[in-house]
Amino acid sequence: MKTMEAKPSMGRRAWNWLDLRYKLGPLFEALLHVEIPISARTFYLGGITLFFFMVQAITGILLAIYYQPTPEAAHKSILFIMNSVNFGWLIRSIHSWGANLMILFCVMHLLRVFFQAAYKAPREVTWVVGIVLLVATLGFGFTGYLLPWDQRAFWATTVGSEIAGAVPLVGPKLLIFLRSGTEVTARTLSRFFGMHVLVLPLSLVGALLVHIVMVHQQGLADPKRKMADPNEVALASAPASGSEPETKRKLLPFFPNYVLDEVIAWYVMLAVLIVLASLFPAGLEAPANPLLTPAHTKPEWYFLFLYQWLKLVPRIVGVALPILGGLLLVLLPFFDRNPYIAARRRPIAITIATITLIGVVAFTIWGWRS
Amino acid sequence: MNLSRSTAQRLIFIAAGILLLLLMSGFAAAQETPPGIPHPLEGRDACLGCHEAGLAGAPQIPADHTGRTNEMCRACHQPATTAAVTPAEASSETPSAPSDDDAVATPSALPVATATTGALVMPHSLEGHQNCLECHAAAGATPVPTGATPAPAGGPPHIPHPLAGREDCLACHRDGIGGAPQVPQDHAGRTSDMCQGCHQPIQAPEASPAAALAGPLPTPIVHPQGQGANTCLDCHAKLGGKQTDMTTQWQRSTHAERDVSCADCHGGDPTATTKETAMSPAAGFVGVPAKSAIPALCASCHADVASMRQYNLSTDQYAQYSDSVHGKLLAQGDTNVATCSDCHGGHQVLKANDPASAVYPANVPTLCASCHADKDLMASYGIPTDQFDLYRGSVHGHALLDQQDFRAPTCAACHGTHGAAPPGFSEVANVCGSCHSATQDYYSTSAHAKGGDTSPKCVTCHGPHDVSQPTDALLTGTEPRHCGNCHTPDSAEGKVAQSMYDAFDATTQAYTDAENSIKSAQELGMLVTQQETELQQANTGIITARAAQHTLDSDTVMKSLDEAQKAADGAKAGAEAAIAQSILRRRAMVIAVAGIVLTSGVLYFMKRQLDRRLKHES
Repeated sequence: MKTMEAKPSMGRRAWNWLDLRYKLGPLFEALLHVEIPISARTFYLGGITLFFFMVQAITGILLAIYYQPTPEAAHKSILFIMNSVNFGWLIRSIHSWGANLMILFCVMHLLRVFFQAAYKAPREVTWVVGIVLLVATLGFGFTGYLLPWDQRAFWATTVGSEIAGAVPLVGPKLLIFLRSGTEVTARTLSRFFGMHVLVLPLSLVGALLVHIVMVHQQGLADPKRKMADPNEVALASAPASGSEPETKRKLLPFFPNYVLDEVIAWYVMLAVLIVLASLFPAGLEAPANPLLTPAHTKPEWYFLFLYQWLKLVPRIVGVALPILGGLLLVLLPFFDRNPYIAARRRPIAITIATITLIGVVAFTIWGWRS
Repeated sequence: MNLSRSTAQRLIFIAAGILLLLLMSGFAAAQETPPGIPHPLEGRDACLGCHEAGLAGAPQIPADHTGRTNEMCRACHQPATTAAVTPAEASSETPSAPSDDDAVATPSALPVATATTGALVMPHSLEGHQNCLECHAAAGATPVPTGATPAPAGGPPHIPHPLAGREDCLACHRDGIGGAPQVPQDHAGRTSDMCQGCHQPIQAPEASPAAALAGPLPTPIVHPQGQGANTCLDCHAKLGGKQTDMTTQWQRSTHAERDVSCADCHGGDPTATTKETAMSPAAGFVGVPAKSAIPALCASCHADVASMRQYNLSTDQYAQYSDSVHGKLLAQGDTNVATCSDCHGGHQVLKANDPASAVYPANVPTLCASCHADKDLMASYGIPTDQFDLYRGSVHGHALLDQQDFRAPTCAACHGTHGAAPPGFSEVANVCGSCHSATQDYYSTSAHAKGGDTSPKCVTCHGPHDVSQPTDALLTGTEPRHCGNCHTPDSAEGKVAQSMYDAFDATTQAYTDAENSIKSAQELGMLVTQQETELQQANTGIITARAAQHTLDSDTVMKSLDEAQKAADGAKAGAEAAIAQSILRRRAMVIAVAGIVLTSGVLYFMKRQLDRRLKHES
């Protein structure tokens, strides 16, 4: 008797063809089976940051088709994009707002990870790579800001690179390296464009891959766990001993549940981007004039706290403290010896972080209003 | 025939004697003094250059001088110039006819010089003759001043010129040099000191007050040089009060930087260590200069081109001041007027571009007002005292004193600095036009400019000191400074004014509309750079039209206004299009967001299902 076999669908057959050649099965197993504790509360901040990066990459490529990175043509090319290119205004405005939101959500993701102690063992290196991603994101913001070559861009970059020049020992050399000279000139624009479009994207994508692979390998941290345990991942992947089912973490399927949640968050962010781009399109000031210093020049908002801090205290203090803070941030998992996860068991860390956060926000607002 | 020995001896002696005599006379003749050199020697070391060939009328060297060189000439020929300068001396030595010392003594060497070189040699000494213009007043170098009257009938002619420095009458009158009447034949043998025995000076006519009261000559005060020393400070800096203030002021001044010190203005010996020596008249001590002497004192340096050249300072201040109202009144003895130190300071003289200087542009109105706003001081001159208040409220005063805009005129810009005098009515257009040149060009083509003093000038409509921001309202209305003040509304001119007003009104309205549209577009986040440029062009057109209205010609004004209107309309259209685009975008945004919300809703619904399934499974 002949058994009637259902003919596999076209998709299935395509899959089988590839799987036969490339062993896609195990690969996708790993990709799609990320351990998400059911109690995990990421607020999808990291994913949103990734979303914004993808938006920036796409809109950036579209802008790069029309943008010309020379002082003579830059401003005009931006005007052309805004006025003459179909939906050019939309692409540029999304890119401008996307940059601000990417930085904002990157910082919010960092804060979430900190307050949930997700940086503790076994996720120390993930945290370090995350700091690298933060620096790269800020670098994107700094280099991209100059590209319109209008008064705001030119002078904010001048002020910002002066801050870089204040770093002890390497400051002056760093300033010259950044500006490709002692002043902001056409060479600076070239250098910033190259950084923004080649160096930083490649660096960020590389670090991002490492970061995501790490997260996938370890799964998301359970905020309800009691203590940081270096053996957490090893234990989780150990064959079920069967003895303590209740200690086994309850997991949420990465695909489709968590992915769907992320996609919804991304859609909401897309709506936010469209609203912001339509109601508050990207502006453009007068073309850069090195001989005309505007009355009030400030760096972009994400550097304002630093800018205001430097205005207030002597240069040594003004530079030392942020550098110290930066080092603290990078090496946080290595000198935070407290194994506990719960906030009430981490009073020092929580207090310092809260004060720092309030300080940074306050200085940002102060810098904005000064 | 045979002569005896003694006779022959006698003959020989006589012949020798005659020969000797001949020789001696010849020698004497040869020893006759060679002609003097009748011309100055400066730059004329190569005598043979002219005299060898007799060039330019120079006497050719005689044949017996062949082989002699330039250096040898002066061994015999002496300059006659000393004699030419003091002919009195020479003539007194030769009371009668020209002596053998021909070339040295007589001024006849002079006319030779004149004839040969063509240059007019000064027939009198320079002593007491520094001011050439004292006698040689106007064009024409005749020593005779204008207004000479003829001699009374039958008597010896009067001397029609001043006698100062002209003791040697014969210097000019012997040969009639410079137009001087030549002495008649019957005066032969008379000397210069005999002339005034018969010829009397003319009774000089009453000199005009201006000429007689011309200011003193700028003359430096003669005093021992300090070579950097200035002992005046040693005492005066320590005396306290006003004395110390003076020294501090001087030390901060620009004069102190240039080593112009106390003695240069006050005289005295700046190296002396005792008061008596330092402040002695012998050392040239003058003390506080008289007010009337101050301009000349300052001018002794500041009118000297050679001294002022290194500082690139002009040297016409004294000449200007002498012609100013202040200078003329001072020359008449009025010491209430401003002199150099009243404006520039006495000891605290600073450069005019120093903000602390009283003559710094921003400080000039206050400086002038320090006298000209003083009612008591100005009462005797009948000058009003409200100029500063009027100026302060004017556009010029506001620009200069409130906005530090140094393009705006100060009192000195219109009235002059050193040569200060109010411009005459007919000069006003040129004064205002020195800055408002475009407007002046337009005005000069108008009927107003061609009417002389009866038609309006700038100040008629805009005011002299109280220049206010002109508005289009000047074109209408009948108040003073408005067109209607002279032209009735139904006159041809009145109609032109009205039509200009209407045109300005329409165009400025179009400009305002465009400006508002652009602002709205900008508030919506639209980039309207091209429209902003067009708006600026419209503004330029309106400004040009405002200047052009001084031609009083409608067509000229309308041409600029039409261009401005076109630019404003274009700007407005562009801005309105941007606003429309913004509205379209917002509408599209609503649609897009609605789509996203819809999709999100669907996805959320799917999520809820998945969650429910998960819960169910666990």
